[in-house]
Amino acid sequence: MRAARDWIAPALLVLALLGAWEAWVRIAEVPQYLVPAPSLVATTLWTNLDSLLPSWWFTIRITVGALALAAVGGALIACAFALSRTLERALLPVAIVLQVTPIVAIAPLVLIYLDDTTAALLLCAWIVAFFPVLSNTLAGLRAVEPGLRELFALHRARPWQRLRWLLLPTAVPYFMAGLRIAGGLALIGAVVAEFAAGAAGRETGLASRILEASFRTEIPRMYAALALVSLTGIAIYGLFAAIDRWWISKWSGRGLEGIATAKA
Amino acid sequence: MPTPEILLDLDHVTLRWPNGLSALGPIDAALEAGRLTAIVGPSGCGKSTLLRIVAGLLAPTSGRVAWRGREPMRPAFVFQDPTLMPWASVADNVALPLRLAGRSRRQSHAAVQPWIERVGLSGFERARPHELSGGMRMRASLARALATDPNLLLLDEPFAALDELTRFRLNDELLAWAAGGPTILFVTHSVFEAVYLADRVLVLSARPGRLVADHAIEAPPTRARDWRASADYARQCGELSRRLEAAAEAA
Repeated sequence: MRAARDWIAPALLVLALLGAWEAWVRIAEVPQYLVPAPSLVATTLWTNLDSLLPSWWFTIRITVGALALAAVGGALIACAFALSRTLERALLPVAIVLQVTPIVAIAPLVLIYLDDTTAALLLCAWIVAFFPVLSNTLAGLRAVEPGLRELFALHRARPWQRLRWLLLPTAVPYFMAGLRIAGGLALIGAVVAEFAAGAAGRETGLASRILEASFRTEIPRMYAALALVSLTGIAIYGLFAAIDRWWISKWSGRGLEGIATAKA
Repeated sequence: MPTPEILLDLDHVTLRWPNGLSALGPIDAALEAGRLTAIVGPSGCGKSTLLRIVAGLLAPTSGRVAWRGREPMRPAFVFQDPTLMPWASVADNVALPLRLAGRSRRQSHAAVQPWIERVGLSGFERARPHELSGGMRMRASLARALATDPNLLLLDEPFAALDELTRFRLNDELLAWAAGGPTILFVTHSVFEAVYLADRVLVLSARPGRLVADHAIEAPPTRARDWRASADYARQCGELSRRLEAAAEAA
């Protein structure tokens, strides 16, 4: 019941905005090559499913692949940093440089160095997505309750016992929060890198469809591809938020509100 | 009357924080085996710090803690908060020290089950800490400490956050559970609790905490609730209060 209430307000708002958009385009007779009506975008999406669906599937594959690598890589690097301050001091600046440099600036270089475009796109999406996982997991590994830390010290816990029974369980909610952010960023990375690649052909994603439509001034098709990107982003966020809520309530009875995120 | 066996010597123990602030001491005291010694003192005087030094969690800047027991020291610590792992069940929390000592999950669960029953948490073995009341969480914390069969039990204001009724009940239960068992060092800010529980009370001055009084409690052989309402109990509480006030002013 509460879940339904949570959905009703945003759904009504979206419907109201779409209705207002449709009405404005029709009443003001806005040309479709400038702003197409939502109904036209939906029709275009339906009639172009043959070309859009394979591209959407390609973007999803890149996003999910990058996210999986970001989850594993970010968590492993965070564990290594938590166990060794020297390693953290040595490698953290590299991670920060990768994070703060715009992916549109890195992508052309990656595309030059890697022959395989798919691998290059995957690497670009990973670069964007891994830092929130790394920084959040590291914050989680350092957020151990002092009393529990002392308890483990009193009973002379070995490093692996501390990692397995104290640090990792403490870090799980932080890792999940990082993953929620990384999900959206992986999608952004996948789309932006493909824009930089300017790829064409069958094995390409939604960014290529947007570029094609832009070259041909097929604005409704651009909007249709853009709608698919947005819906995918919302679905990824919703999925991780649901997993996050389920996991955290199962583990500790705490809500998402109690979990600080190192990077939002 | 035989001289009590000394279990632990605090020999000129001092602690200075890295910023140069003097936190504690010098403190000289001896803990007698099998007795419950309470530590009271003004807030921030270093009571909890002293407990951590005794447990080996903090190293003193100078002086030493000398263990004189026949067996090696087996300390257990109960913190002010229950410090339970929120993601683990009651049984897993209570069994943690045994797991850390290398026992399997099955063995450690079997070993702690009698203590879970004794502290009144039967039926809650699989519950998570957030499903328990404050008093039940503290019972789990006490079970975790007692299940390790410690010969030195260190308690850092364990009942401070509990309501009065739960606190009284746990005071009585602690006396019952620990009877004939470990030597206990108990930090509290409650004069009433110190008099009710302890055989002896060490009074610390304001920071840096120094031992300003070593106060013996004259209690009946078996402490029961009606003793709390007695004139003798009130007199001893009053006496200890005066010593504590003098300690606070002796900064």
